[in-house]
Amino acid sequence: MIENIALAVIALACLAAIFGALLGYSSIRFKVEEEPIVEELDAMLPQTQCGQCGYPGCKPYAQAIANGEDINKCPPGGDTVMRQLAERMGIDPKPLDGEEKPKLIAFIREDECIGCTKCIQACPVDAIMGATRQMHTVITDECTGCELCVAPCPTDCIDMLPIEITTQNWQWNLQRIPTKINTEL
Amino acid sequence: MTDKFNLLSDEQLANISSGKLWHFHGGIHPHENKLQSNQASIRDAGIPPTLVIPVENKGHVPELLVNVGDTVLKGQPLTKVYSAMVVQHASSSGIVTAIEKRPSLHPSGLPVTSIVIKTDGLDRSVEYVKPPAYQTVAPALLVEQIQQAGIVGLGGAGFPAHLKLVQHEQIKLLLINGAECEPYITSDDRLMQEQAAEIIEGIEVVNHILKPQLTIIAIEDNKTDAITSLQQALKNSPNKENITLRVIPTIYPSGSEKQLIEIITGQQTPLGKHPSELGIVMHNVGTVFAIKQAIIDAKPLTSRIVTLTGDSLEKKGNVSVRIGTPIQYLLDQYWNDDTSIKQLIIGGPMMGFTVHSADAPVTKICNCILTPTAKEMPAPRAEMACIRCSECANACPANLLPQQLLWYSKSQDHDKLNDYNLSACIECGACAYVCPSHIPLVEYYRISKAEIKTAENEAKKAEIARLRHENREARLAQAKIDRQAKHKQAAEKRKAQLKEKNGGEDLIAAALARAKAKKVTESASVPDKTQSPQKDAVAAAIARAKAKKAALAEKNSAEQENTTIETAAVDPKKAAVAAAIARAKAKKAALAEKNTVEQQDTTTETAAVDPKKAAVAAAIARAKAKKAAQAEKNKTEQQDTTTETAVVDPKKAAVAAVIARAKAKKSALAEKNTAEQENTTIETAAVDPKKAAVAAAIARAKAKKAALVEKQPLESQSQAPDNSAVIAERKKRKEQARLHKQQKEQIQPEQQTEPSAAEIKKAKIAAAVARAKAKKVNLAKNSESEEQK
Repeated sequence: MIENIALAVIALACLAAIFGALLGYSSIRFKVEEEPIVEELDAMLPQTQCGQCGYPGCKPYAQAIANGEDINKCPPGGDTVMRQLAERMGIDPKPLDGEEKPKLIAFIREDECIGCTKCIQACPVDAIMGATRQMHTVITDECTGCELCVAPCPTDCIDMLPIEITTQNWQWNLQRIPTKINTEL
Repeated sequence: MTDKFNLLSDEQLANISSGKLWHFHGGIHPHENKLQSNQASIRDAGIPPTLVIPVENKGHVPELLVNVGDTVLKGQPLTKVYSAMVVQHASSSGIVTAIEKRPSLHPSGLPVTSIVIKTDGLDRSVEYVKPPAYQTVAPALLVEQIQQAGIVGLGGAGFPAHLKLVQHEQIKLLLINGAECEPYITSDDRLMQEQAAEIIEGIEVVNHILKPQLTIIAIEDNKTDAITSLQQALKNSPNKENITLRVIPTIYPSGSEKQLIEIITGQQTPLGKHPSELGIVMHNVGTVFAIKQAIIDAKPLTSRIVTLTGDSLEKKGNVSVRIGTPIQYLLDQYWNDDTSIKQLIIGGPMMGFTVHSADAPVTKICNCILTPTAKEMPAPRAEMACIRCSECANACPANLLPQQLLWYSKSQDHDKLNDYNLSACIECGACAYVCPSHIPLVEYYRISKAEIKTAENEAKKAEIARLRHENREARLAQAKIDRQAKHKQAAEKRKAQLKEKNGGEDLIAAALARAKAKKVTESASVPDKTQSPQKDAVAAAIARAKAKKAALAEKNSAEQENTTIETAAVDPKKAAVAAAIARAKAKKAALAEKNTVEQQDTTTETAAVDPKKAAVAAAIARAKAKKAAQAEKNKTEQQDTTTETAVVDPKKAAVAAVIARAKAKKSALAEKNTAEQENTTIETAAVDPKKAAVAAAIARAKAKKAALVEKQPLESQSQAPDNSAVIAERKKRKEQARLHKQQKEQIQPEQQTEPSAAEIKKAKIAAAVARAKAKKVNLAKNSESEEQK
């Protein structure tokens, strides 16, 4: 009787040891490299580095989201980004905390610029060129429209302007293209 | 460069040259409507009063060669070569009146930078110098001449022609596209009918540049006249051996590049690849004609053939239009009835787009202006739901699934659209043509394509912004580290200088030693025999600490001594000195509690001073005891009140701050007490309480500052976690500097040998302050290290 029980225990113990070793090995050998969630979340964010979420940049916010922060704190990303974040984090979408505005671009009225370099220091993406007591200007292509340069300007010479629509960024709309004609004359 | 694996093999070429034709998937047979315009020969549209020549391409404006007010001649270049862009030329003579943004021939109608020329009607042209025979010129030079002549693909896409002429080694097959499958358009048809010989010459030029093994001219079988004239021209051509005319069945969209390649070669161009990877280059007949004019006649591209058709026009047909002619000018000449205008379509009815302003100029891509009447092209019928009949999939020449693309276009699912190869869609409109639900499928695709392009651009910009932000952060962090290193270096230099100035003594080390010494004496009550120059201050501090103990011990003999207080001398100086001595003596008293009285008794030499001294010592001791009790009380009270409100993390900092404040208060009280006591005895010490108060105030301010400094890293920690260490370090350094300064101030009076009462007091105060500081710093350090943990 006792021998049977001992046999069963030994057999199960052996099996457990074998499968444990197998699982342990495969977990190392076939380890799936997963992209860190922070990088993924960071890639979804619009990279305006505007700090409207309360974090000093998009990456810290991505880190915070990974740690359980709300997903609705990115007004520049808007509803689209919020939904992407919600999907990635597996949580329900929430109404955006803040107003979704069309993207703007900073513009320095160069006559009024006194060359204080305050906006240069404020710009999170180094999109403002200039030197002390020299006129500054915004590199339009690099500007993310974060508005961080507007407040520090002592002469209030920075405007946030809407992006000019050109043939490059113009969008088609419906009823613009005839694709069918009445061929039975 | 070209992947040779995809190149057509000789076997395939032999197969192609045998005359075999293939089919592409799908395709439709819309009504051709070509007869309206292909009956009359090409006319000249005339010289409009103003020419508007757009020079902007994809947002880039090349360097201009003319200024406002300049006189220009026909064929005069207006721009320089800018990257792959071709040169633009004046298409008639006149004066440049403006260089400004004008409405463009684009579905958006948005203005682009254009050169406006007021024509003089003389049409004077620059002198065309007959170049040497092209056979003697290197192909690369010819390609450059073609760019200088401003030749783009005239089939409708406007791709710069010279870019399709550069890879001359690998080209096996040259296809000349004369299919012209789009309804209504007949410009290539008429050109082939009228200029067949010149087209063949142009093909020979391209053959010379590309040296293909085989050249095929493809024409749809509905253009019988064009086929005849080309065959005639080929017969007359001296180099006709490797040029073949291939008549293909009429099916829309056979004129599309990839579809025509499939018809002629049976090969499908891989997705996202250029036909040149198969060793195939295709040029439109109009382009070839323009190449002939540029290379053989040295005439740049200044005009093109435009089909003017649609029932709104009185005279339909093909006209040779100068580039830059406003559409309105053409309409004025050919308009039938203003009221019949419904819409202006540039290109054909299948692939064209509507423009809203007739002010837009004819450009090199404009092969047809279609002005249908409402009867001819009624308003599109209401869109209905997709019934998934798959008619569109059957018609699609690119073998896509239009119904799936529609579904994902509506839901803006860009990933799925990419999965279903939306980018392979040639926007031919076959799907919309066959759709029984009248869904304008191509419109959805165009919108989605634009959205995807925008999203891609934004992603690219976001990536750049991210990199720039990261680089900036790294740069700022490096600058901070550099700055700290610099400050540290400066601090060390200062320290070394100070050490030199103080005769090789490290003051900070001394201060630390003192603090340590104090601790040791507090715990072990072993008399410290430090040999440092601050001996006096240390001694004073120790004495006070001892006095506490002495006060306790002397309670027994207090009654006895109380009686002697009344007899205390009034001599202020002596009393002060006595107080100092008394404190020193108190140390001894602490050592041997009961021996004190005996010692006092046995010392006969100081007998006169003893009673006084004992009295003062007792008084001080009592005051100290009281003060200690008070301070303790204050401390506990304050601690209680703050611990309730403080949250877990800043609590420690707050407590530390409170303790520091309490210490500061305590020292202030101590100073006050001693000041008051001494005030009663010393007249000259009138200034001292003020000093004491100032010292106390400074101590309090410092304590507050320390508390603030401690709070700040906590706040900033949540924002930038890496900063806390830096801030802590900076704070420590500041504290050290402050201590340093303090000691410097403290040492100067102490080092003086004359122990006047005021100086002793000052030393005392300084010692107290220093102690408070040292304690505060210790506490702050502790709390910091705890936080960091």
